[in-house]
Amino acid sequence: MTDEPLDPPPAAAPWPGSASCGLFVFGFVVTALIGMGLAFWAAVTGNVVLVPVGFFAPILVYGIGSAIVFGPRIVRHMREASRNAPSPESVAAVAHGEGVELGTKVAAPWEDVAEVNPTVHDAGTTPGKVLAYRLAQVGMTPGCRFGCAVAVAIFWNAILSSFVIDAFNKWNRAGQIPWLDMLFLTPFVLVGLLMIGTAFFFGVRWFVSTLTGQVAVEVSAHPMLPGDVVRIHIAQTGTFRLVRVAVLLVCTEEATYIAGTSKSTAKKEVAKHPLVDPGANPDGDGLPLTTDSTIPTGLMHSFDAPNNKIKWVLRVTARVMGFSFSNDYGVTVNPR
Amino acid sequence: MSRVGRRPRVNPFSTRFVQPGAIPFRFPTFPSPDGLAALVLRLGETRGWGQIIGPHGSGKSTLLAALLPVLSDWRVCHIKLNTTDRRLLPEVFDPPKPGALLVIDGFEQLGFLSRWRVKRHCRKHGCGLLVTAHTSMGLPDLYRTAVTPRAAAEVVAELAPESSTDFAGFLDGFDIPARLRAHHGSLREVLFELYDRWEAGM
Amino acid sequence: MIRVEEPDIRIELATEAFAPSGELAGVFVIAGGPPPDARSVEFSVMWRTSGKGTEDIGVAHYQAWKPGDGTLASMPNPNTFTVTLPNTPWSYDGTLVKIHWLARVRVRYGPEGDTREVVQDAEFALTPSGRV
Repeated sequence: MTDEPLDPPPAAAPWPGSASCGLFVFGFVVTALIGMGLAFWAAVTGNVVLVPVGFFAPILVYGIGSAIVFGPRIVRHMREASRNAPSPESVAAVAHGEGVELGTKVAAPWEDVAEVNPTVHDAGTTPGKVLAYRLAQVGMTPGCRFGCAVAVAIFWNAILSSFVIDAFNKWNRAGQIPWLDMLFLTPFVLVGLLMIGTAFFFGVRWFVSTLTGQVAVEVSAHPMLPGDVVRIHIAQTGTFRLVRVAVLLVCTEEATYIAGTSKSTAKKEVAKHPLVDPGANPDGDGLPLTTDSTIPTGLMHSFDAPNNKIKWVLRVTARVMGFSFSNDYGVTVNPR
Repeated sequence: MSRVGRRPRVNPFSTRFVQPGAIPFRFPTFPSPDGLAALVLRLGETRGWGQIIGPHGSGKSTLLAALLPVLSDWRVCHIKLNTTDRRLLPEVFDPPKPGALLVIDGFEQLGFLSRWRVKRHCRKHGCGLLVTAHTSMGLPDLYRTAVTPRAAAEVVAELAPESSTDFAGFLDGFDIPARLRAHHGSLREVLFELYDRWEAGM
Repeated sequence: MIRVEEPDIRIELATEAFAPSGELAGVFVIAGGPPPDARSVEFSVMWRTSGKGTEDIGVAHYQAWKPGDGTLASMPNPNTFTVTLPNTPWSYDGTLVKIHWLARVRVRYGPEGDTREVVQDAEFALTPSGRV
């Protein structure tokens, strides 16, 4: 038995070319524009029923066609990638032998810890696969954002379309442009277009996040203590590779107040501490990433009261296919 | 300087200084005790039925907070509703004692049926009903709140007197009437804005 | 003698800052003793929030003296105290959320139907360094 250094894990399967990805996105944009044009044409010709059909049909056809053409290739890539991916044991070994050991004692349950640190509540973790604790993602998922944006855009434009169609019908009947109606409707139409654009933007981000897959963040110690060195491991499951990965420790203050008859919560990010700098990693700035970081000293501990909170998250930012990526993972900072 | 472990500075526009009851209600034309007495008289004339209506942040809850302590002739049951708490407890519909006055802050949070039920209960048992809302709820008008620029300036001066060295120059460039207009007459929003301004300046 | 002025309460703390899990030491005195018609004297060590949100409070220590149970008559005045402070929350001067620690004495007095009270606070810092 020798003390030779472990071999690095074998390289993952090559990612799909960025040109193919760019072409796919370009096709999606063109299809969406065609859909908008068809919807507008249907509205102008008075075929109200065809408006949603004209808008969504090209996107649907493009999606199905892409799945038929590119689907088998993507599946082949993913199968190869999973066969060639480093085994969990080798990743743990490269991370200097640290991993989730059987029989490791879990930190004291909250009933005990609450007595020691009142008002400091656990952010909630699950056992990790590589390191001891897997952090939970917080915040609205890209799918939820897209769904909300689509719902709002449909609601607004559905109501607005009846007025727009009515204005165009007046135009057809009278042969003259009803300037007053058009001027009145213009701001509303602009807002409607902005909502469609926003829904489209979130749709693309949702699509990208689907291909990015789940991004898991694990840490070696939780709750975190200021001044301690913590190992952070980040990995993703999807096909589209995240690059320029950075990790920040972000503090947010939340204050809930009653404004008349409604309850509102004001939030403000008051501190951002970079833990992982994408430029500083000699092995590259992509995933999987395992690194040691020092939690800064002098931090305020997590605080949880009914109306006032101090929350900490680990924020993972990156770039994927030219888009920015950002996910937050809840952590607890204990007092030292 | 680190904020951790430091005794906090006191923001004069913190919740504890601006919440209903913390700032005395200002009547535009007469001093507060006379104004409150006039409202108590008017409430008596309508047998305890009345509504305080006004836009957001115009002082409805503040006026109610000032009025409740002087309603000594009534047995007051005070309920505060908001968008997250719209339920009426079943005890509200128990037969009331003589001279009872049901006060509901945020009456419009209830649905049409609940509002009708409350009115019917109060009418049937002869007890008073005093509500606050943003629009008319069909009760006799007790008072319509609206914040004047002068009242807003007085409130701000009371919270952050310019004569004090702590607040010298604090309001430079801050046009209170313009900010009140920008917030559609909501003094609450103007005070929130001043909270942020104080924090940014410190 | 009919007392017309409200009770004069003074609180003095050993220092302005204390460390988590440390001992808060101090003394409070009611000048001239509690009023003859005192209903209760309460001493508490607590934290409260301030800022933009609705205020929250937490009590680390609470003690009350009342005439009904005979404790008010035997209450030392001046009254020295030593209270073990919890680990958290630390004093904090945030933007939306601020956390204050204070020692509070509340005296309730007055005839039936005319209850009055006087509250006196002495603020201190709960700081990890134990120093201001």
